[in-house]
Amino acid sequence: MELQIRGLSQTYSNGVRALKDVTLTIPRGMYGLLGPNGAGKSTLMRILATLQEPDKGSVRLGEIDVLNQKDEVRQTLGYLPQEFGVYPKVSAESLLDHFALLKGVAERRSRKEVVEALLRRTNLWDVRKQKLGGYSGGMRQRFGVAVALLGNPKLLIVDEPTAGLDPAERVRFLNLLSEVGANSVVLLSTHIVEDVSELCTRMAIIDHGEILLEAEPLRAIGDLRGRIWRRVISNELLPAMEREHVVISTKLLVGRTVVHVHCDSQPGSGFEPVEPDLEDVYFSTMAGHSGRRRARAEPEARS
Amino acid sequence: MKFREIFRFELLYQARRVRTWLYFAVLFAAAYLVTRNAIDGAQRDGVLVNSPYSIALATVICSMLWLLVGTSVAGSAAARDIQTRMHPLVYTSPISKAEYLGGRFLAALVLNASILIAVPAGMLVGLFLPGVEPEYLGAFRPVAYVSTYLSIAAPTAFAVTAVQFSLAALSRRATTSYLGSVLFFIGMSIAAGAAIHLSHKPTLGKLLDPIGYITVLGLLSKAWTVVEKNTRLVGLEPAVLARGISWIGFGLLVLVCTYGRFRFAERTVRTRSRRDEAPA
Repeated sequence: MELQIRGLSQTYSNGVRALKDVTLTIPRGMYGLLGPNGAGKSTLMRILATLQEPDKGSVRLGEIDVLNQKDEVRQTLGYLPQEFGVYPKVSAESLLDHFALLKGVAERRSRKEVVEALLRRTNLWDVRKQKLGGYSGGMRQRFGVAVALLGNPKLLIVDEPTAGLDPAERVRFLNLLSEVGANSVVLLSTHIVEDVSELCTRMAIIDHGEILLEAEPLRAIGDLRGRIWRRVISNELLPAMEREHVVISTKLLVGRTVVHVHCDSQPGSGFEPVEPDLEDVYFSTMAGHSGRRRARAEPEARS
Repeated sequence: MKFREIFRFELLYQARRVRTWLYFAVLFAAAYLVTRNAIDGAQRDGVLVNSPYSIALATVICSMLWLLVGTSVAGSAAARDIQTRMHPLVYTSPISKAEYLGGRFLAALVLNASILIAVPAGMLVGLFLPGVEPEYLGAFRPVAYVSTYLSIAAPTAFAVTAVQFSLAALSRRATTSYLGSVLFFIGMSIAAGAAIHLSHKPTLGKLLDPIGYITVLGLLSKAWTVVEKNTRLVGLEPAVLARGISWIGFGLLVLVCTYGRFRFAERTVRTRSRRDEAPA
């Protein structure tokens, strides 16, 4: 099963163009959607999760027309929204049991097993009797994961899931997603580069509603090999450096600045080559030196 | 199956809340006080404390109180998912609108109808506690309580629950439902009063009467003799039955409209509808 997104556009009534002609093909496995806050990730996720209508475009999940056959999609959809709440005055166990019934796990004994298994997998078993109102942000997030995983979804959409998690919770959560990715389409949106580099076999970078790059992380990193250079400079030299070179990222390091520069050949003395990582892919794409922004910029530069 | 689960979950969730029982207690106390108060009335005009007329009067008074204090049940059933922000999880579940809205509404209706049981319960306790002189007490007629509940309290409960539920489901806020429903039913009461006293259309006025107060207190209190008040079953009066049926019909209409307009959708920034995109 494959998720095919074709020409999706969405403009809000306040004039914001949240999505511009988004076309993506998302195969089974973990797919990372990387972009800054406000790039249009959540809009795309909500459309895919049947909660919002786009202005234009089509989405297919295998044989299902996602925009017009919402009931069919919901039969096999798991959705973890970026922001959500729960009823405060009910225990995790009984609310998860309720959701299991809504998702169609009708038989009492199998439902009990499913609920127990998910509470254990999300490490909530010991606190299953506690009221959800007393849960911490991370616990509530894990509860949302348990709800999303009910009924073995063929399409799992998780929107900024690692934002509120501590490092141990994050690792555990990403491993859980990987397991699901063995059999399902898992679409993970995030602004954290490591979430994608550690797990996703495919990825896209989105900004201002546009897909800037669609790639396999390892290949995209390989394409940058030999083009990323690093130099440590004092802070006051940075403006000059930005004028002369294509600076894709800067990091402060005890009073000095580490700059990464994109250049096809040695940019000058003092620069040393670095092995690129996904962060370099992300920043050079955002800065317009690889991906579609570059493809568009080149003809203009020639003319 | 899913309908039953949605109904069951909502019913239990609200039945476990203190607030629900508080409404019951307030109505119970009010019905008790109204009944004790009727003892003085009986000494003045001879209308028995437990006459069908007194029962109906206590019922409409307590129904008005219920409209003011007990309104969060339906609003909460319809808007809690949005207000707790759990709705993305619920709306993406494989459930139909009929199962979702139907289960929630029915739970709210059962809760409200149960809360209104406090009224006959409070009246009965008021009668049987010491202090009521036997001469002001008629024979115990269960049919007087049942018919009043079914033809006055229950239609009110249905119509009010439907309006509150719909306002909350469509506005997505329980407070809108509270204020909107109170204003609506007060407005309807005024309209009913105006129809009777200004336009001299008592039949129309009785049909519009949302709580039953105008019909019972305003008309029967003057038209009926003491003997009639002590014997005739108010709940079976044609005007009272017609009022009940018209409000049940109105409630059904409201529910059908809500079913048509409701969407399992996120409302973020107002999105353009697809129609706007069609070429002009």
